[in-house]
Amino acid sequence: MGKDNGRVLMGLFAPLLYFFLFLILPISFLVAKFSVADVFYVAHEYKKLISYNISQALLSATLATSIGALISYYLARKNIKGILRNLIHVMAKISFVVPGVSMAIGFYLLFGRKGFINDILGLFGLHIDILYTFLAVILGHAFYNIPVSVYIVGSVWERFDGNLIEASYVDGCRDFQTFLKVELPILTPSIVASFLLSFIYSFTSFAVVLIIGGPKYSTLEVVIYMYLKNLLNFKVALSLTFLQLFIIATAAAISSYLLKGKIPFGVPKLKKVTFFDYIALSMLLSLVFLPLILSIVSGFLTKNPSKSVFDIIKIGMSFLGVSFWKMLLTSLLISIATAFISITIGLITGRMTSKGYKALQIFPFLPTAFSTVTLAFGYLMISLKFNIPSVYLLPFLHSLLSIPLVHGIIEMGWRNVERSIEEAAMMDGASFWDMLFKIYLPLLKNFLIRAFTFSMAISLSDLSGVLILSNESVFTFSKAIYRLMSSRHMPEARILNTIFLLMVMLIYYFGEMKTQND
Amino acid sequence: MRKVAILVLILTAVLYSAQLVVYTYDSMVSGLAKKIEPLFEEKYGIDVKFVSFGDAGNIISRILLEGKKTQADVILGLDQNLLLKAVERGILFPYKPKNISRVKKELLKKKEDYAVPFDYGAIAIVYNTETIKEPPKSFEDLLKPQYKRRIVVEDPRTSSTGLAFLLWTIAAYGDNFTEYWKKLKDNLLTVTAGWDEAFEMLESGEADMMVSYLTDSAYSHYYYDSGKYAPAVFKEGMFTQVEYVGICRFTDDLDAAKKFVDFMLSEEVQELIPLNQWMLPVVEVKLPEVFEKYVPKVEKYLFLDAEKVEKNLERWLKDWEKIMVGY
Repeated sequence: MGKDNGRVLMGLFAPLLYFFLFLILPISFLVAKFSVADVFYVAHEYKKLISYNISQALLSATLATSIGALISYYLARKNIKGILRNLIHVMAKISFVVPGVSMAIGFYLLFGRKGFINDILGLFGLHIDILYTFLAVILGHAFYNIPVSVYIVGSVWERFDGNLIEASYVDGCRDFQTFLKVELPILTPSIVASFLLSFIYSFTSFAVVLIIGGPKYSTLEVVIYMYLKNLLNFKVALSLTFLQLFIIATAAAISSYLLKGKIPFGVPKLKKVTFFDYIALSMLLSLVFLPLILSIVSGFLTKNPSKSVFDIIKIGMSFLGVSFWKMLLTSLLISIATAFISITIGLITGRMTSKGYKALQIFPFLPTAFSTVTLAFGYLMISLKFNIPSVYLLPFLHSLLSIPLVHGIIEMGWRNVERSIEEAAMMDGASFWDMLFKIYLPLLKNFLIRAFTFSMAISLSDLSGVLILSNESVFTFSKAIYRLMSSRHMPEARILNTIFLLMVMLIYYFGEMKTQND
Repeated sequence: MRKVAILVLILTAVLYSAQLVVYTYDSMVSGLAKKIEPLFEEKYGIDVKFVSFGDAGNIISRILLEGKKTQADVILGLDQNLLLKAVERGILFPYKPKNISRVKKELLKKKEDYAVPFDYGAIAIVYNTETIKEPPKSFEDLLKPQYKRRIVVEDPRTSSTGLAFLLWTIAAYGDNFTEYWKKLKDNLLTVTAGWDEAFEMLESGEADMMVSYLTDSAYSHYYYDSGKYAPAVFKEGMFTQVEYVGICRFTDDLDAAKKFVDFMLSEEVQELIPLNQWMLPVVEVKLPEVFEKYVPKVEKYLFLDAEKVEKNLERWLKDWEKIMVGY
């Protein structure tokens, strides 16, 4: 019993220490001049923006969660074969690492006035303006957040015990009744979790909202950026950040109240895929993934046919003064270190919250309230105060960015672990480490691989943190692409971006194959 | 033993030799800095290192956070607005180089006690020559119905180019700039977070005009042998962005820092400015052929008093927000 209490205390203490050291401490270095009066001032000044921001995020999250749940349904209940199934998973993850600019290219090529859709409509004399409307903002956020839903809802639904569905049919329920009475109650926590994350990501959206919506739809993040970077007014920037924090903490608290229950995992019950299913699934997927495919392809549509892709990369890398392989290795090292840190924390927080320690539920969501720039400046202060090379802090910064998602995925995994298995192992005298390596990790394997790849993706796509904390010898893909673009080396930047996306896609594909085979 | 002694001597020399640290913005490091680093080291025998943290705005934030511990000896690349912030926050050491008299007179303002200009350039409305046959010649022209939803500008809250464009309209219209923006709003296709997103819109054919730089045409001729994009010269006058080099107050090698500032005004550096920075040199040097051929001559430049900008910037940005965002 004593040992159990010790473990519970450790389970609470370790993540709290992590959040204290890597979130609260860096921020505390920046808040010396912060006052509550400022928060009330900015809340009043920007009340219209805040209320708009909340309603936009609610709508975006509703759409993203609904479409994500529909795609999850196909993954969970239809017998979609291996490659297509893997591709859906991989493509969903990829959208997470698409830099704002690449995503913009994809959107212009699809929805733009000379885009794919208008080209087709033009054949019938029609034209549609989607970009720079509220609809575009919602669609853009859906593009980014559907993966959240597919991964959180999909990973539960895909492994839902088919016996329960069978039992419901035996009791005379039809498909829809079975969904409402058997599946939905069990899926609700994961739907709420994915809705909440989509809400938070849409609420703090930055480049996407400006690129495809315009300033009318800009978020609180844009105003924070203005105060932080243009006006160098840390006081107002942080006041706004604390307002964001309050809204996000409230959302996380609501979610923690709603999240409960255990998930009956087992062999799923799959139905035959009909022609109609393929049509519906293709439409859903194309809405989300066509911009992405167009963006990837655009990298090869180089404007200079006399130079090969390799020549262009060579020109780009020599301009940057770094070798391609060194940049690749640096990107991978930082992202792998990030994944290890966030998975360790996610394993603990996921375990604790799945066991009912709801107080911890809010913590994994807190980092989303802070813009990466704010966090990076806080980390810089730590690096200066304690003489730590700032680049070593990058994986910790990136782990904070990925922890909300990693926690969500691993928590779902923990709900999968049967209490009876744990009890049997304990009765057999298994130590904590035996249980960790022989029971927990094997059972959580698929969730961990997914969380790992997501965490890597988030680390790979970060730019502002890398710019502030890295030194001249450290180059990641995102930094290289940014530097090429800001030096007007557009063809080089585009090709590098395409290679980057294809590389990540490949890593994911192998990850998916692995989990699929298991 | 002799080898060890030589090695120790070399190591000592390396460790204790002066290293000048220059804080600058990102694109400078891979561009001009690479060219001037060996020149400076050869000329003065001083090792120089260029360090960047993203855009120019980050340089000041960085030094403010680092305080006395900063490694920076020289600050390279602040524009006129950031320069004022740097002066106000006391991070610059006043220095007037011996060769300051060579700098074009119109670029010298009183803040040069703290930093000196090393390049300048005008922002401009750049248009696609294949789709715009009658380019605008003034701000008023931009309001014409033929350009409706064809122009993209950058957000002044997040982009330095966007901020320069807002200041340009203020330099042209004074306090009436709000009236101008109310009309311009209807003609804008959208506002992007940064220059690169706007350029992508121009490249993909989504937009036909954007706020960019007067040298864009020379750039696309030089690198891509294409005259697809050209800048429009406005009769109200063009707005200039001036970039400065100054000495950090916390430098531990004032002599080397002074040498670097002098060096930036030398002919050998100034000749490198056009094809590396795509800006104009601040002293009279021969311009490359693409500049002579493709950078339009500007009759009139508009300037905005930096102190006025510092005093009013927050209000102006809020006015802009009210018009464009609606709060």
